[in-house]
Amino acid sequence: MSARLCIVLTALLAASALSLVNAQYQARRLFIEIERAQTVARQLEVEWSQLQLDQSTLGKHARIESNARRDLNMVPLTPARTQYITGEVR
Amino acid sequence: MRAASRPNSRRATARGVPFSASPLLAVKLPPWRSRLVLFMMFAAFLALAGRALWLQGLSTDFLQKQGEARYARTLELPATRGRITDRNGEVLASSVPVKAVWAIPDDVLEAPPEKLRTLAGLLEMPEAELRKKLDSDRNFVYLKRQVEQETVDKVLKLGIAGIETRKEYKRFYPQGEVMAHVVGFTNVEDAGQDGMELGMQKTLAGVTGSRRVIKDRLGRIVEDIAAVREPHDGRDLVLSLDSKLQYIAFTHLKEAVEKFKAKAGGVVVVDVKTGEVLALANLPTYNPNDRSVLTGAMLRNRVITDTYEPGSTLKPFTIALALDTKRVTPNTTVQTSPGKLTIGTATIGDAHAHGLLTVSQVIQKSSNVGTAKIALQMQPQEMWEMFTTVGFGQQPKLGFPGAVAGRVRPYKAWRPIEQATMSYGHGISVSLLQIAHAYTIFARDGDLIPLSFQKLGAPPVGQRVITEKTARDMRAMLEMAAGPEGTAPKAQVPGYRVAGKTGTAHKLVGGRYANKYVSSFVGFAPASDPRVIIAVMIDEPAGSHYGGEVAAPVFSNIVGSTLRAMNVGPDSTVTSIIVPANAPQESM
Repeated sequence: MSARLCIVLTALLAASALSLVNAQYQARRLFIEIERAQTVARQLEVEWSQLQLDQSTLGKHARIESNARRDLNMVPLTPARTQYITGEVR
Repeated sequence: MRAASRPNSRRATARGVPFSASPLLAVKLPPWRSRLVLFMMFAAFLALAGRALWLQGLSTDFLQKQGEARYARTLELPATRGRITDRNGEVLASSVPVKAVWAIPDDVLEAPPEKLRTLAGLLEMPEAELRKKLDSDRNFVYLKRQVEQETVDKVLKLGIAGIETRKEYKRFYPQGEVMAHVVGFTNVEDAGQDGMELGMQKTLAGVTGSRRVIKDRLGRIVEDIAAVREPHDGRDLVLSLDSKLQYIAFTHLKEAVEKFKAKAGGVVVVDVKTGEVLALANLPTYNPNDRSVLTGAMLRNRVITDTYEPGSTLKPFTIALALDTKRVTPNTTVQTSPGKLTIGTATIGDAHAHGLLTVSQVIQKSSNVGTAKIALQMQPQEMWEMFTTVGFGQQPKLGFPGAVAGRVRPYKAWRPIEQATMSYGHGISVSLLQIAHAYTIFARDGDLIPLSFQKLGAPPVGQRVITEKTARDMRAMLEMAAGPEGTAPKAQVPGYRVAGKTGTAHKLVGGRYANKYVSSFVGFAPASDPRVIIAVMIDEPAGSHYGGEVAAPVFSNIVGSTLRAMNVGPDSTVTSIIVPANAPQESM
């Protein structure tokens, strides 16, 4: 009886030890994964701020104005050519 | 023993002699020898135990530290400096990660010369300069800072031993020179040096964090071994500026400065409802992205840090005080003939003799004599209080570095002639921003609100300075001044009613008035329900120097474009404006 109990307990102990090893392994693997994801997130953030910067650079009013004047032959509006519409918004 | 009892045992009788009968056993050894062996073995065990105690108990800290040093690493978690955006979220300043390239000189100098030549080319410096930098006894030499990632990749591809990189940030200013003075700039260490970058350094700067981790054989992080000190990124700063309005103000100012070959110029646009500064431009300016050639003149934020004698733009405050204390009404008449007034030994005068004027006309025609006569009815203390309340001589609380207070001398020392000249803006110094701020009392119904460079959630509470009626009367007078009969007909804008006052002041050079002028114009529009206050200053214009000729057209251009950009409906008929050929020139 006691020998059988011993065997069962030994088996349980071995199983528990192995599962501990596995758990530790899984923890480290997941940790590496989360680290990698965080790095990607940081890179994307940098990219985003770079894109915002580009947007601001390309959308610079001085650039738009020179493009509009040169390439599109546009001229600033004058009140004389402006039709002001007043009325209630329905 | 059992072997001995069985003589035929193969083991015991290997050589035919039983173990028990071995002659060696018969040798009688002295007993101390076995004792010695026993003692030595015991001593050896003792030594082991002692060593174990030493390692486990006494030097454990040291050993653990050594062990940790072989797998644990402290990582620095960099924090990014906050972005600066305009009120509509357009980025005005943003940090981008770049690399600093540094070298261990001795190692690098061993590299083949052609590689060093390529390196110098990549870092955009002459080879001689690179060699000069490497000719050093130190183990750490910065070759170039703030290098972009692409270049760094190429540098590392050369494979020169001893070239290392370090992560750092570079600040970019996409709007460049247009926004330079308000936004300011940072140095290579990412610390604010000027403008809002300096003024808001504390909130913009991030706090670097750190974490302690275990790295595995491949350099991957496998575990945190201490609590992570999170990095705190700097907070983003939303300015009150509108980049569209800023561009409008900047281009019109630039046009005028070039047209009049002026030394400098400044303009500020303030939102009447909230006190937010919508645009602030200065000339000359600089490009914050390339600061290799910087002069003090370029860096000066004249609107905020320079004071000048405001001249006639101050007259409305004197008149407003007289109206508010019920000493005069807009229709009270003042005799300004013969255009001169002698107080004590000094004489002040108008550019043209105007004769009998109403108080409204004194403002409209900008008569010094009229203003002085009204001012002399008042106590110096009253005038001083008025000037001080609207912010003259007071340091503006803006969180902007270098804002000046200007100068209003204590009223006890005022002589009558000084009181008279001060009433029309001489013998007093203010900054353009202060004047724009003070005009909020006319543009709003008599209350003063603080200015702000940051976008506000709700409009601030004003502080009443003059009554609503006085403010309305003043608005009407200022509208006349900017009308066909006033000193600044060129301030008129098609489609919008405007109100404002010109100013022309001699510049003090070495304590004497020189033949140099500051032309200014301060006004607001639309006059029926003011939305913006615009103050323009042109420093040392060539040719004409009258505010009505130089500064008023700039005001007019900016008002027109700004109000249209803000979607403010016109409050007057849209007709082309006829500027009279003989507009009265204001007095100085």
